[in-house]
Amino acid sequence: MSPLLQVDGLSKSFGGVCAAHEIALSLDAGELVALIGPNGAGKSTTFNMLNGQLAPDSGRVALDGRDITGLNPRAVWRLGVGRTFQITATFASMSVVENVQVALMSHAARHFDMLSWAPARERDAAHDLAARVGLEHLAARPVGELAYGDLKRVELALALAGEPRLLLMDEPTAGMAAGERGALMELVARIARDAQVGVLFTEHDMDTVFSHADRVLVMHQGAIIARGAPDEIRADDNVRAVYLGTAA
Amino acid sequence: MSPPKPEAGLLRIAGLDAYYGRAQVLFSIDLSLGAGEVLALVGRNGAGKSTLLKAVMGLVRTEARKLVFDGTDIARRPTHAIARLGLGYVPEDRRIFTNLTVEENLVAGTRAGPGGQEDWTPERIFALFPNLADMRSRSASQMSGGEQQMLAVARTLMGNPTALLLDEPSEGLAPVIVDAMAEALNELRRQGLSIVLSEQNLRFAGLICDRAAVLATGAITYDGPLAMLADDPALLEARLGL
Amino acid sequence: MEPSFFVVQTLNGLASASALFIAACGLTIIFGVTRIVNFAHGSFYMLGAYFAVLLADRLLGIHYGPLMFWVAVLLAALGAGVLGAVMELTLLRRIYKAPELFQLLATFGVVLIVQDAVVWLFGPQDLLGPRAPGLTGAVDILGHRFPVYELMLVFAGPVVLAAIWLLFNRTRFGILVRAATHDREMLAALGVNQAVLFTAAVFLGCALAGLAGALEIARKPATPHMDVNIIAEAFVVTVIGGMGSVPGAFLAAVLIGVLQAFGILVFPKITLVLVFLVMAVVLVVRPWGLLGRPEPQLRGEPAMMLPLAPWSRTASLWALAGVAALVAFPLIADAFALKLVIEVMVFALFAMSLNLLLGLGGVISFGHAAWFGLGAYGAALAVRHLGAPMELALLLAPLTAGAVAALAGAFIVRLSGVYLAMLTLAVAQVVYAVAFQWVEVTGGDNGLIGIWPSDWASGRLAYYYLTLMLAGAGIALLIRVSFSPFGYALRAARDSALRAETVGINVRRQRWAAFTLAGAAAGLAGGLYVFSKGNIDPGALAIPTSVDALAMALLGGVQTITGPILGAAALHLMKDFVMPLTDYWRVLLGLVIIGFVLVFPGGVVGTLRGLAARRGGEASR
Repeated sequence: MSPLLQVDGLSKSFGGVCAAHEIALSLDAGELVALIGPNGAGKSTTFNMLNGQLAPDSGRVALDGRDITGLNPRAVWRLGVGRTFQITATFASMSVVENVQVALMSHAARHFDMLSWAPARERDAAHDLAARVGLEHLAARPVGELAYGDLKRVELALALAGEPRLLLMDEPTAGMAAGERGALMELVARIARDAQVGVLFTEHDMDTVFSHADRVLVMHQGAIIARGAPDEIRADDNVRAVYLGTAA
Repeated sequence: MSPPKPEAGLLRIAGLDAYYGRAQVLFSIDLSLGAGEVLALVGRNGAGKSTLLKAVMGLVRTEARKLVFDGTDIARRPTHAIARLGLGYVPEDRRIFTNLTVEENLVAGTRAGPGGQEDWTPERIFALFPNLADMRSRSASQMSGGEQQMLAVARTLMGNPTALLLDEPSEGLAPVIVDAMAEALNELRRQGLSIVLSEQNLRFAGLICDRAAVLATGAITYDGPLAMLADDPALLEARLGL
Repeated sequence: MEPSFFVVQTLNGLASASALFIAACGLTIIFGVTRIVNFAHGSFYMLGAYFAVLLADRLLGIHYGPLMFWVAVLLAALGAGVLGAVMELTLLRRIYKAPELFQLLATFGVVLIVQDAVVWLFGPQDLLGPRAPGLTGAVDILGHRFPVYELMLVFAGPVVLAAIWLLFNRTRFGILVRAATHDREMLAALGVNQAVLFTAAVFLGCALAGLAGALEIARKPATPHMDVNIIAEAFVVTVIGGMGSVPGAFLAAVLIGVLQAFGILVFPKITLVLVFLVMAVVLVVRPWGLLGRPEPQLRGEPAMMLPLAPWSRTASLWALAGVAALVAFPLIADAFALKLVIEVMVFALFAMSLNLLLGLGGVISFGHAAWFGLGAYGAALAVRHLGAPMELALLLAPLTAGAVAALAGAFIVRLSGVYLAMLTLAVAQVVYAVAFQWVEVTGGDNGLIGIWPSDWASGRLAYYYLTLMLAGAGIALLIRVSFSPFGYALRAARDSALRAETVGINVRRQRWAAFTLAGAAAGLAGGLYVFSKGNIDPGALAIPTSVDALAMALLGGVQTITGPILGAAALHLMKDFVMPLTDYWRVLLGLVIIGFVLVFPGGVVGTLRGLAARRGGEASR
């Protein structure tokens, strides 16, 4: 059986500068994998190639054995890849439930329906999803009024609305207070295990990485320089050098 | 050596929070810089180093109990007024005016210092950064990363600041350029400039600074001698949050 | 074409290119530094012309000679610059952070004010200026007589270009201006006070507009309409050249000037169309203009998004009551009141259609008059040339407008922000130019008259109910669409295009469909309008009609559903009742628009709801 996500030889250059070089990784359903590395290591570039925001120069991305290289973000989403952003992107003029309704209506391919009454569409499913990410008590609130940690949960709900098999989470806890970070990652981990969703996430906070990731990939200067279980990575001299700035 | 008392410093920060949009990036920062002091601001990327420097310059939304430079409250001041008090800022991405020549970039930065001093001239700049002298009339878009970095520092110096905020000046530079940069910064230090040097590269910071403050996920986790960190990897790892 | 004629015609083109360039480079400088598209730029051009006429008369009376003429020209430019600085200090600096739409509207308010001020100060008649002493004759160029003043103009453009080049490359001020176009925030971090720089840039830009106007007085009179004529062309030149690029503006001015000089020989009917077509093509191929750079991504927080209130039971009751009142209205109304309400209903539909784009879609259409006019002309032409009955014509109105909107929209939705607004304006001007210049078919300036309803609907009462039915159905449809999954997806794309794309919504296609629908709805409004009036002329397609629609949406509040209806009523009633009382209603309208931009950035309904929500929010805590 092929893994959920299989990436081979993925490369991208910008104006002669290599941002990602021969990236190879794989990920199984239900697994939480962290992608870490210093600024400019190529994490965002890699993420953007996985969900179709960027076209790779070479290489291949396969979801459940199906080649999805070069598809646009919409198509990738419809094939079951949910994405959250480092800086939250939500629909600021809508309530939590309406945000989720939009994603659900799009998932059901109703977004060119000009005549039916949207407030009544997918209402129950949207409430269920809001409850799943722990926002039932805020369901009717405009997202513009939410605390930042709750916005991150809305992002998660939006990503889940497409019934994804794979979640790509860019800095899921950035901008949150320390106490909230653990709770969010536990929620993600629970969803991953319950629904057998694979999760690939980037993260700066090492506590979060080491306490929630099943495996860790380390990027530096566009390449993956180490991979393994959190404990192995923690003990890796190469990784320390990259992070401690002792590798001049 | 212990950090100066907050009430004594040239730059004094107390209880500073900073935000990008609604995301909070800095949490209750206390930090101060004495006159003539050179401080390394260490931390992994994403720890909030750049944000802290931007917060001082009034470039991000902040809330602070105290934000004072040279005796003046700068918490509510517009950026240009903060700069005119003698705070020079060199951003991480350099933000060179690539539509101008090297010399024009220097002109854009030219300004008398807070006490009316006009110590910096292009000639003095070119003595400090000899590379730049040969490319006065070249378009800044045609420069290498290292040359742009030097120009960014030079442009800020033309404003005759009394303190410099430098955001990762060694990032992405070739080793030989890094050494030249360190030499230039040490020269500035000898001339009496106060400097906050944001750095990921501890080796580079060690060439210039004695004191270090460590930022991890938006909070200060260490403030003391840099040598103590450099000599004790376990302490460094713990403070960086690795 | 013989070669000598070719040379002379090229010189003609270059002469008008110079005037155009001098006006447009001021616009591009102001945009480069402040990121504001100064709709009032033509007003300063006009002021420059009037000032120059008056000053030259005075000064030449004191002492007749070239020196006095040129002193008058320079003083006039200076005067325009000073007034520009006043505009910057009192208005522009309050709206640097406002959405582009509000900036355009506020500066259009200035256009209206200056128009009336000019009439009040200088009278409505054209003012003929003196001829330039020493430059009155003509020279012989390859056997053709060519006016000396025109020849001087050919060189004036390059001279101004050189002067600006020196200013921008040899002075600290110029270097700072160029740096500001690249990165304003960094400049502030170097201690440069942007406020002063901005005032200076606006002064310079408006002085150049004034100079361009002043230079014109020796070849044509100063008139109260010269502002709108120049502004459209100046927009074209800045957009083709790349907004913020002075050399680009020069290049584009030469292109347009020469194109017009030869176009008028080859296609005398469609020179205007040609100009705007060139702009449309350039924008489609090079969305940032010939020498422009892509808009830098704005740093900072996004504009506030107002929540769309859910359609409540109360709202339904109000809507029902409103419809009932309109049905019963003829019982108490006289003919004048009926006519008035017919027009309000037509404009309410028009404003609602714009609001679908503006409010829900976040698409700034600055040329919405195109679709209104296409509907009106579509219906009128069907009656005039095909002998179609009113019923068929009213069907053709939305179809024509919708079809053309679909075609143009396919290109328009590829752009965003100011460039999108400019392209919609260009499209509207193309349509305007066709209606204006294709005299055989459209009747040109006179338009088409005698377009009356079918017999059964020819009574005022019958037409009232017909309008109520059709406009009401159109409005009801637009409201329904706003609350449909399509409307939600459209709003989602406005709130966050990035997020919309990553939940499977094709943002461009969503906007394109909205553009088409809005065009069709505006077309229906246009069709209803032509039969209520019995005639149509190109004025219905002109910029003021687009601005009216924007003002109605703004008055009622974009990002609200029913606001535009109230806005349409307010604006129309104001025009009907206030206009007849005073000759200077434009000042009033201009002040109202500016006031609303400054005081109610969310429109009346939006602002009131925002206040109510805040109060409610505090109460619930």
